[in-house]
Amino acid sequence: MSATLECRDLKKSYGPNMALSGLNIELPAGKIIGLLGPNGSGKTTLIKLACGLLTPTEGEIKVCGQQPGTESKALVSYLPERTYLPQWMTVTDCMDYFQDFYPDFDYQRAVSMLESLHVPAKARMKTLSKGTKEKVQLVLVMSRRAKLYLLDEPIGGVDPAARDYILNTIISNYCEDSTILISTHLIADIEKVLDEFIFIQNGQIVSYASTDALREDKGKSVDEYFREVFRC
Amino acid sequence: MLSKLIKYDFKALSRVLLPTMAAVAGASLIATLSFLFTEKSYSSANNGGLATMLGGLLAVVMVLAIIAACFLVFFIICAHFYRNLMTDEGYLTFTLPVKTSEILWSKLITAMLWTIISVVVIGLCVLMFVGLSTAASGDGRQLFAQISDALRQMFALFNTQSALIVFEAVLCVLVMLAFSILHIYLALVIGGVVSHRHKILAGIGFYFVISIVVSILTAIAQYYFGSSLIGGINGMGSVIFNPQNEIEAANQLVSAAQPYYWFSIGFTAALDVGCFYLSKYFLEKKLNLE
Amino acid sequence: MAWQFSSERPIYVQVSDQIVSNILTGVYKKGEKLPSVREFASLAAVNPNTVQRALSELESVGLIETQRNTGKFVTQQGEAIEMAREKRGEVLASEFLKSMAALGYSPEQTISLLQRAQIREVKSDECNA
Repeated sequence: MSATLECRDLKKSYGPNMALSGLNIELPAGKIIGLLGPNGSGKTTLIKLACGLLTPTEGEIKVCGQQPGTESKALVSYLPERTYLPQWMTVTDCMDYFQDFYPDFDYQRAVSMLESLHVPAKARMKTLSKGTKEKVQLVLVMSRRAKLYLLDEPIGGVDPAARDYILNTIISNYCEDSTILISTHLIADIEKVLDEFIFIQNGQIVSYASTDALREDKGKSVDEYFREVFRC
Repeated sequence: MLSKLIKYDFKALSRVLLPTMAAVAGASLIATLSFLFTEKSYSSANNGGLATMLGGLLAVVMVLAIIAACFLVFFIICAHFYRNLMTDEGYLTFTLPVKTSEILWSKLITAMLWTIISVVVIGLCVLMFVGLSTAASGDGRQLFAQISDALRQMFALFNTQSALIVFEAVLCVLVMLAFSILHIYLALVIGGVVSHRHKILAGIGFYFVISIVVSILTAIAQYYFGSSLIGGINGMGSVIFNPQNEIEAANQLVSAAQPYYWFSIGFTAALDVGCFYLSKYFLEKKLNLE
Repeated sequence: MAWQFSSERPIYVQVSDQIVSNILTGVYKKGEKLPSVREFASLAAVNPNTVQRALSELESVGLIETQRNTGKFVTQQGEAIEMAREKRGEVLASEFLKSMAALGYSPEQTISLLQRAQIREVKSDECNA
């Protein structure tokens, strides 16, 4: 079986700036993995390459053995770091939209999650607060039965209480054969849900290990280790 | 998947364009009725001067409203394309499990559909205004009689050849409409790919760049193929201005124009295909959403 | 309320410790059905894989048993639980001694401190009663 996400010598440049400079990694199925690194380290670029929003400058990236394209997009559930749902749609419209385009979308699950978050289903997106919009997006993204979830800063914009709920949503919706890649700065908040972590800097992998192994070997949490590795 | 894309694009456009069209229809209805009312009071009362002025004003407002509606339709179609692909919504659109070509087809088809709907609605409104306001006077009745007479004659003459002409005309309009839309789309796509901050401005710039390229291509094409086309028309002078040969002249004119017709249809269709694939290429290979 | 974890030990170890504590303090009784992996994950706000690993550790020491199709149960065997209790007691006691030693108390002083504390505890209990 091929890896859920595989990068070989992956390079991406925006004009003269190298965002990714020869990145190699292979992510297995069934893990929750943190993609951690300082600002501008290439986290978002890597995620966008994986979901086909960007094309590599060099090297290759594969999702479940496929290059980003129509087939791979059906396997990837992507949460961008911004609100991307059309503002004129109601929450229900958005659910219908996902239902129409993604065969793996679980409508009932989305409805019940939105109910427990007290999101008004008939409200238009533009009338919702930023945090609520993020909740709607997360619910839609996590209601899919995808192979690879790419969550870019899923908890950045919400309050600590909602953060807990969102982490819980991620944990309880995750199934064994899929992989979740979470990019964030809030390491302390998410590290207990992580199986593995990736440190990325200047477009290259600095470290890729299991969180438990890190604690066993170094007696450190990911958060502490991050502060040590990326000390300014 | 294409039908689903069309469904949502159509919905997004209808949301804004349906009220616009309703407003146009409502405005022209009011304008027509007011015009009829002032016309009536003009003929019955002495102080008709003011009423006529009012009527004239209404007509001007009506014309302005229709021009505004045309611009609005145009603007809404462009804005929808831009917003759906080049802004944050692009993150949703481009991560759907659909082909880029399907996205473009959907945008093209819905834009063409709505342009045609708008043209029909606006045309009917103009017809209503002109028709009803002139029908009140004798001129109008005469005009209508003439129009219906002409139409009757046209239908009497209707044969395979005229069917062909109609077919050609429709095809021509569709191909050119598609081009005017794809032209804008391509400009917006390139503008969005090239610039990160001033995507719209860059898009407008590329609109003119593409226009220039297209006129150069047209000039080249006419230079190479044009002379052979014009040759057919040259020998027509003798027939055209002979009123006894009216129908024959028309037939000859039409058949002489055939190659030119098909040439321009073919040429525009080629431009359509070019714009489509260039847009597709840029969206697939060069897109960098911030 | 999510469980609290310290940063120096693996989380699965801390999860299994917490479950052991819950068994020893009677939150999960002998022979009782335990929450599912997913429920534990949600309860502790940790990764289900971590819970899975913690549970298999506990299973290997015989504290919990898997019954096919029905889930995981606290063992019926008192022995295993008593062993775990003893082990936990030993760990706590030695940890306590260590921290007292760090404060400068000898083991003997610590023990006499404990005795005094116990007398106070008994008295305050009597007052409350």
